[in-house]
Amino acid sequence: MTTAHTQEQLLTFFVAGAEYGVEILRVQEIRGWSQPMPLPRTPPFVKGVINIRGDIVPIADLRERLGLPPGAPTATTAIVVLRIDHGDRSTVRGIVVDAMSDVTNVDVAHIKPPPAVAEAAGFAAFARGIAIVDDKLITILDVDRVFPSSPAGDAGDGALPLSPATAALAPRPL
Amino acid sequence: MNKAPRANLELPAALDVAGAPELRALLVAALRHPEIAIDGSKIQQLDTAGVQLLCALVRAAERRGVALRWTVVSPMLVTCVKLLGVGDVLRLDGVRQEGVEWFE
Amino acid sequence: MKPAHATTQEMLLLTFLEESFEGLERLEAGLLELDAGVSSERIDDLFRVVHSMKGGAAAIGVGELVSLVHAMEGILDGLRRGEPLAADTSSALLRGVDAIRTTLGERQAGRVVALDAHAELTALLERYAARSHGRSAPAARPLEAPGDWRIDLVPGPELMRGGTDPLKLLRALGELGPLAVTAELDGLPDLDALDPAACYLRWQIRLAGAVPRAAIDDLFGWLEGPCEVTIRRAEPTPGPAEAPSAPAAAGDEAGVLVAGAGSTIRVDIDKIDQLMNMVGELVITQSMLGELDGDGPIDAARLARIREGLGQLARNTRALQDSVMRLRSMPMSTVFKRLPRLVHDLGKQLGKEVELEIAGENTELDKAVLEHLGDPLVHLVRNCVDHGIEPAGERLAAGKPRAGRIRVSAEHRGGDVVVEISDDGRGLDSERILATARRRGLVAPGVALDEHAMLQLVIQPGFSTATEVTSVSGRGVGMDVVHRHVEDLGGDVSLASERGRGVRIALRLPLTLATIDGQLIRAGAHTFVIPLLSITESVVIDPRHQSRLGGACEVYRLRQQLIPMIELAALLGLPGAHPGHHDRRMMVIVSATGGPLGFVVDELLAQQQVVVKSLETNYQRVAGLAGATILGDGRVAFILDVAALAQLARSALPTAA
Repeated sequence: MTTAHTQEQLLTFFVAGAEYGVEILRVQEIRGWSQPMPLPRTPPFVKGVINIRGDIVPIADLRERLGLPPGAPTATTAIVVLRIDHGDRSTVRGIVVDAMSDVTNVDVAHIKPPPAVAEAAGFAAFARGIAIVDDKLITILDVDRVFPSSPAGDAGDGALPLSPATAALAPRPL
Repeated sequence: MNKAPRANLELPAALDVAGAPELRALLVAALRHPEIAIDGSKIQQLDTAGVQLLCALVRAAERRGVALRWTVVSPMLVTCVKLLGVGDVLRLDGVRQEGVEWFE
Repeated sequence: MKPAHATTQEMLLLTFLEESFEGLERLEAGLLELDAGVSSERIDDLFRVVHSMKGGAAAIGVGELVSLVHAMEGILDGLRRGEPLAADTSSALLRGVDAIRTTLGERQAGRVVALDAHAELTALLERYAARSHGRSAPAARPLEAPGDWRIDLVPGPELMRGGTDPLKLLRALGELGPLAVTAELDGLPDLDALDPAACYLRWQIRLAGAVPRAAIDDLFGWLEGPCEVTIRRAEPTPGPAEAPSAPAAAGDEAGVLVAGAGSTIRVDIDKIDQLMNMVGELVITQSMLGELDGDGPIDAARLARIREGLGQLARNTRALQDSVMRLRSMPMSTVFKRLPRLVHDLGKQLGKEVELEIAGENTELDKAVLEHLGDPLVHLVRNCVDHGIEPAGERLAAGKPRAGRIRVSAEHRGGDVVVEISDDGRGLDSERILATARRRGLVAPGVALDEHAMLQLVIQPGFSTATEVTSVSGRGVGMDVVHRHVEDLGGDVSLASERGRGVRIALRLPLTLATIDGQLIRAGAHTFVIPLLSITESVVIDPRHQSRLGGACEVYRLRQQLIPMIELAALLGLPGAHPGHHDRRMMVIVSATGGPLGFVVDELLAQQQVVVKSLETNYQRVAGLAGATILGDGRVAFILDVAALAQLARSALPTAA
């Protein structure tokens, strides 16, 4: 994949002692921690939703997404609110991180693909690459894949319940 | 000619063809004074005959040197005067308006 | 959008157009009822609508309408004086409504239809009007181009004595268009000498505007008593262009008036009041915060109050935001109102008797969504009348009532709006659908389909072009287009049909913005909103009425019913449930398919109108939830989808957390 820029600008943060980064253009805002309202029947790393100026925004815990045990929020815990692209649609979703780090420019040439061990660790699915900046190792996340891809449709048995008379006539709605 | 001071002419509510003879008598009587102050605020019913009589009053006053002054008029009178196109004769611009707007 | 410097004339025209469209709706609704018999007040109302439309049209210079409207006014005048209504008259009047609408639509686009565009209809209406007045119809008059008129009115001296008042004449003339009147008083004798009841004045009148000669003639035709009236065409007065179709020499601004029917919105005054209240609260909060600004140290106490004020500010802003967004929601009636006329006309045209029932017209929906709903809805109803409802004879033979019934309803169901269209006609013919599908290559030969799959075929693009199928193929616009419309809005379509019994179509529209009246409840640590419409009643739990059925299911005995008790948190798989601690708790009983359910709650909180936020905007649909809302304190509360929860509850045993 070619990119027109030779540098990428990343927003970096810490989760469980390791440093991760996301493309800064995808970051809508950074918020302090607030307790999300838990959503029923969602994967465990989806902690729930919060209200951002009237919008309902789902929040994922990056720790749990990485397969790590959950941790309690601290004074530095933050929520990075991202803009996620799904083809023709985009959504706003947040990830919980332990602490914010920095904004860093990274030479594209210095970004390496994730090593095989990432596969084993389970985050190959959403790690785009590894960058080394000033002796620090930053795992660059693919924003669009942090939340597992699911079409914006039924999450469960969300079948349309028809009115009784219709239900009597129709075997099953679309 | 009656040398009494100014006549205060209060026009009745109805100035129409039915009451035209009485109205004419009223106007003629007023013309015996050197000065007439006309209060037209009570006018609620008006037709061409009534307006015609008022025009005749103004003309007659001019001819006899009687000073005519409108003190207050009803908006209805103003509208009818405009509608009948006699605004040059019955000059009501700037006169205070009070009373009935329009019939119906 | 108005051009940057709309002239007064243009603004007047816009207002006239807006009022006239509204007037036409009232007129149409009233005319449709005329057949059924209508009060004299109603007829008066209709007359007034037409009368003011005539006056407005003349005054503004929409001359091409005046004759038509005048003729309609004549008929309505006869009706309100007690004339009987002839059968063909009301349909002619309805045609008149259509003609006016078209003409006004052209004006909106900056065009003027030709004067004779509606000549035939006008002549027809004039004949009807004359018929009811007992006059013979006037001979067809040659149409004259509009222009200024010069009218000389020389009344005979006996005119007023005969009961005719020139003032009234001039007033009536003034309703046709702008007038300039000059009176001549040369013949007026001295006050002493004149005859008070004789008329000595004469008038020269200039009638500007595009008034047809016919209208002026009509006015003076009623003149009783000797009178000389001369009507001539005069030179047009120079001055600013009157019609919006003035030549472009006036520059860019003179040009096209595009009122844009969709650019204005009528708003319930309550909503405006609410908005004003919120702005008021905002102002209070702002001044409170303003007071906290000042000299002196910012100590803990002041800081706390500032924080409080900011919190208040956030609440106010949120409430204001919601309130403004709610302005955009409009009732379904704006879409439904086209239907009665459609059904009426189509039924007459096809020789079928059809009754239309409308329910839930007050259901509100965002304006943008509503606008996209109109066409699909019209198409579906048209199909019902066209293909669904059988002719009276066939219906009677089938044991059905003579008139076909079409029902259109809209309701909020779990945060969606569901619009249902159903008829009691012949239903879809699945054999012919299958045959057509086979012929079109949509289904391989020899493949059999179940009822459900069959119905989905109808929605396939390209299916509806078949002409011989009696199913929901329209006039070149098919079910697939409807489906696409609804999908674009984020919804879906479902179809049910029973041969010989009818068809039912449900359009589900997920709402990005809607409000519902909800009951806030607390269940454990969770706050939920239950749509009020679903709630039958709420009871305090009396432990003596509780029982356990089959070891796992708790039921409550209420009067003669056994109501299953549901722990919401447990059902939704959320932490923090308190199973078994039912002391002094409450149960909210909801109605759902299959019977009532009782949601066990800890506390009943407020009942309020909440704004429905879709979970799908940023996430996805979650089973059991109809959406979410934001409470006054900024927390998110989920709105329960009662129907889905009922399904969930019935299909799974309630689990203990």
